[in-house]
Amino acid sequence: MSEPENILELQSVSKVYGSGHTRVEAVREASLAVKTGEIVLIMGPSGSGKTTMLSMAGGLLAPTSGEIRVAGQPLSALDSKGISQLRLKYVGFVFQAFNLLTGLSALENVALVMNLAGRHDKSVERDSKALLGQLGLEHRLGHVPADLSGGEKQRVALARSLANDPPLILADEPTGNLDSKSGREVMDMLAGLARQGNKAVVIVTHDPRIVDIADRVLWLEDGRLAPAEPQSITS
Amino acid sequence: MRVSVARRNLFSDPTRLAISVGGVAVAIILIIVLLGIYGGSSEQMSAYINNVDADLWVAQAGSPDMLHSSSIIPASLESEFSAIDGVTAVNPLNSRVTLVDIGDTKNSIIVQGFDTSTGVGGPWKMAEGRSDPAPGEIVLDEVSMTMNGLNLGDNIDIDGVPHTIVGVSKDTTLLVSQYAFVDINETRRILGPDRVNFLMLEVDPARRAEVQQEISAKHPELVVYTREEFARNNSAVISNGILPILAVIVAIAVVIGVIIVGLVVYSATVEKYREYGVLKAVGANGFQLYKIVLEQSLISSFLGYAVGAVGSLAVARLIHRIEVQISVVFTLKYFVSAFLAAIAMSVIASYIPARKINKIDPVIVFKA
Repeated sequence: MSEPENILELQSVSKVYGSGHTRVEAVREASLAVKTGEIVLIMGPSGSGKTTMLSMAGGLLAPTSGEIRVAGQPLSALDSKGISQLRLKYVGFVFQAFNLLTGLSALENVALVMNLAGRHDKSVERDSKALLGQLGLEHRLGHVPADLSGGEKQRVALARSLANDPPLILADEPTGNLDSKSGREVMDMLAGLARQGNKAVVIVTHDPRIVDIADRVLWLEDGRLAPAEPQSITS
Repeated sequence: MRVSVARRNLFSDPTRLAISVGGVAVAIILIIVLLGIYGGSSEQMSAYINNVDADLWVAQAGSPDMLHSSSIIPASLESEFSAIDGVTAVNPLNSRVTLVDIGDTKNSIIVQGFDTSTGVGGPWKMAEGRSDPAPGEIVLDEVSMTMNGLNLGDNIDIDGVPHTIVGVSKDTTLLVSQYAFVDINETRRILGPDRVNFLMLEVDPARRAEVQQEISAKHPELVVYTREEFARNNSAVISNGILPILAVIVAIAVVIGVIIVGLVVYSATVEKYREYGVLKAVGANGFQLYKIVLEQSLISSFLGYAVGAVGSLAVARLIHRIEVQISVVFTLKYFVSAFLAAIAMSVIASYIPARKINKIDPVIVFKA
């Protein structure tokens, strides 16, 4: 199946929690289309619904209303197994807390995702090493997360997100736990790999210093999504 | 390259792994040793029948075995049966369970009175001494000798009559009693000369079935067993008595194994709860996560089985050293049964941890 032009589409998506006086609209009728190869930043104050939107985009959370399509497939038409398979094939995640498996080495963390996709042959080790090598981790392959710096951990997480060569990367505050130098390095690597591989990247962030890597910046506040005003980015 | 999250999780905490393996090992030892005791006891019960030169056993009707029933039949049948075509020998046997005072203890022994001139019905394997006791003499089983601190030449009283120990037999012990052998004339004091408990027939194999039918048809007051039938009946004394108790204890052992493995795998699952959420977030489906849990359970159980299987051999030796009358006999079937029990433990123990990770909301990965 050839990749559609829009790798990610949100059409009037809303997410409501609770009811009555506890009702909260985390996301209100948000619409978004991300093209293959595009880097989009979603910024906004804390509690604005950024993580909720990213969760829905990755199929981790079902919207209350609206339609979400990944690689042209409507998530509402898939069962949980179908969504898992879609995530394995089309979506890579990068998390603020890295979320590496603590008992596995850097190489194993990347290889595991390939195993989940059904690959177990020699190419798994070869491709995992190649990915980590591209991110400057060729000398850290056998190290477990406890032995890695924050920047190294996030680079391993980045490699993991690219393990199955997905067309879409979703990153939630990827520089949130990194110093400015490491954060910049990781973002430059992510942007470089994304453009090289023609991948779409959606980054949820507070960090105004990485705005320059994006093709488009959106602002999410009180659940509503809109193009960002320059002053809101720098404030 | 295949990454095993299960192995990493399991071996990351050696203490927890040791507890899990130890628990399964104890359960496996219990299962195999109990089955071995059952096997040994069954073998003991039929050993006498299987080693006596008798193709057919004749008893009073309604007497299925040697222990529970009292069979009394006319001794004169010996000459009648000897004349049947195909019968090559007929030997009498008197058998009685009696309590004997040895020192301060009462011992249950099965006194076998046999024809010492033919030796049929007597001990087939000796540890020392003679196998053909004369009147006033007795052959005791080596377990009786050991349990009571007896030696060749010592005396014991049977029904108030002293008997000198002239021989020590081997493989003539049962779980609850031991055989002792005397000249058949010693036992005629109670039964009288014209009655016996059993007649043992040696028969031409080609005529065995016909001889059995001929005697049964002519003597409805008697029952005629083949060697195999009589051995089975005697083994059934153990099966019927011990097997239900054994089944309960084995079931308890399996439950204990399930609980221990389940607890260990559950705690390992809870500890790695967030990581299972990460796996779900990156695309692992429910079955893949269940396989991780199941693999952890299986590894624990297999390691426990290996330790338990080896341990059961040591425990069996220890049991026999402490209680010499207990015979533990292992067969491949028991080890296979225990292995299947170990697998069952794994599968059942995985159920609750698997349900827990199935309910994980992968959105937790976004929480710092």
